[in-house]
Amino acid sequence: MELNKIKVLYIDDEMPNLLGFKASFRLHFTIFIANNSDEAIKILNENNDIHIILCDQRMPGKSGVELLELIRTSFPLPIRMLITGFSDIESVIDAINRGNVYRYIKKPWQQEDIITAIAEGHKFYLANSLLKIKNDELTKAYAELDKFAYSVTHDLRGPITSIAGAVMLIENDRDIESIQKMHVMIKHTVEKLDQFITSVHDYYKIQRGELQIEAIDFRELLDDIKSIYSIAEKVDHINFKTSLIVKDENFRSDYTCLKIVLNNLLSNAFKYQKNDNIEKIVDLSIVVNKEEVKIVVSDNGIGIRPEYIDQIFNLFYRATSESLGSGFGLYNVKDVLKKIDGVITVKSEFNEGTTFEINIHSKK
Amino acid sequence: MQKKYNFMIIDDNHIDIFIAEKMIEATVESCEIFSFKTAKEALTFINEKEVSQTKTIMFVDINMPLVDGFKFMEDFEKLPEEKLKMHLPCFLTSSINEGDISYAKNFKTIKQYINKPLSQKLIQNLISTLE
Repeated sequence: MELNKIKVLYIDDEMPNLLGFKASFRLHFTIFIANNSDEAIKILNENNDIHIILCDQRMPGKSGVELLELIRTSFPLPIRMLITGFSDIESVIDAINRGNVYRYIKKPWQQEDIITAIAEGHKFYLANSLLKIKNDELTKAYAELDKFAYSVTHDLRGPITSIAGAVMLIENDRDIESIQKMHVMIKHTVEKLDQFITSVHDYYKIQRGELQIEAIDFRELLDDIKSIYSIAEKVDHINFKTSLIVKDENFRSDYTCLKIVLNNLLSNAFKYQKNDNIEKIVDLSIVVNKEEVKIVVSDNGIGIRPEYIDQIFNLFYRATSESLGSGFGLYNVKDVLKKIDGVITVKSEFNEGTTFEINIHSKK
Repeated sequence: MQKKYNFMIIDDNHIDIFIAEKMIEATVESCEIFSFKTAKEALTFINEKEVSQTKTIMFVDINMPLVDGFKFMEDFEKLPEEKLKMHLPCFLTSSINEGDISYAKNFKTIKQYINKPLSQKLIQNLISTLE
């Protein structure tokens, strides 16, 4: 950063001092001046990016130390420096302890000393700001981690206790039919657990992973997806319709991210079907244009009640007890889309079906 | 064991309902078991059902979509006294989270906090503490 972009506020009760300071440094820095505390606070309120505050110790009413202490509570970021003509050790100690000042400058000041002090103070300011940004990020990450840890214990422990319960039952059961029933339950629970672990893996990949941008072969992607759902298609008697129109071969994006999006939407469409439906349908259509791909996933399943539709993209939110979701899927979808420059919209009619439409821009 | 209690299970997971039903059947002779996949259905049932002579032990899951076990208990505890005293709610959950355990203590009608899976021993223990 160039020095003249550094914003400095100088507070002194004597107007000639202020003007002298401004005249000496206006070419070096952006200078603000105030000759009392009200004016200083007004300037700080109007300019939230003041980097350095220099304050004279000897002022009527509040001393410089007191004023800096007061400023610090509302404006913690600017670096504070005290200027005093008295080489009074007490006021210096006071300044450091109470006003938390970065530097103490003796009057009469030397121009070079001020410039060095301000330049160094500014470096300190930048380091502090970076630290604050990192700190905010960490606080957010911790909050997410707590939420995550809670859900993981529930979503991992839940299925395991189900399995443990079923195993306990089987131990005392001699009825082969009942044992077989529990065997199927255990199998479903294990599948659910496995899906959950895949979601956690996806989540981690989205949060931490780097994108690998390449030209996307949508035929390969579609084949990939079809092979995943061919079993569900047969077992659950679901009519899985797909269509692909490629108008441009050079659409660029991240293959894994696209697959995560499709996988989550399709697994929901397969999962939230109506058991009594005569023809269960899942429809996937992909149209690849030059700059944009449009993907539509629709089903004629249970649909989403309008009062829950705003929340379906929230982490760990589940809008139904009809099937055993974890509340991870759509959150992951939204997160991925943010990364690969995509938007998603949803339309749903309760008890009729749901349609998700996604538009993703090609990456450079 | 003679018929002293009926049972109610509130859990969004049908497998856990199945396990709890089987465990209760194996432990307690001749009892009625009412199972619900949502807290809302359970509350409607309790509201509409006439007060019976037999006390009902309730197993309430905590982590359920839409209305969770805690919200259910808030509504439950607002029921008239004559209904409350015939119901003996317990949390039955896979949660070992300290936050859940301490929050569960806010409900004065809760008899026990039980960790899944439910076993015959846990049911026997519960019944003996109720007596």
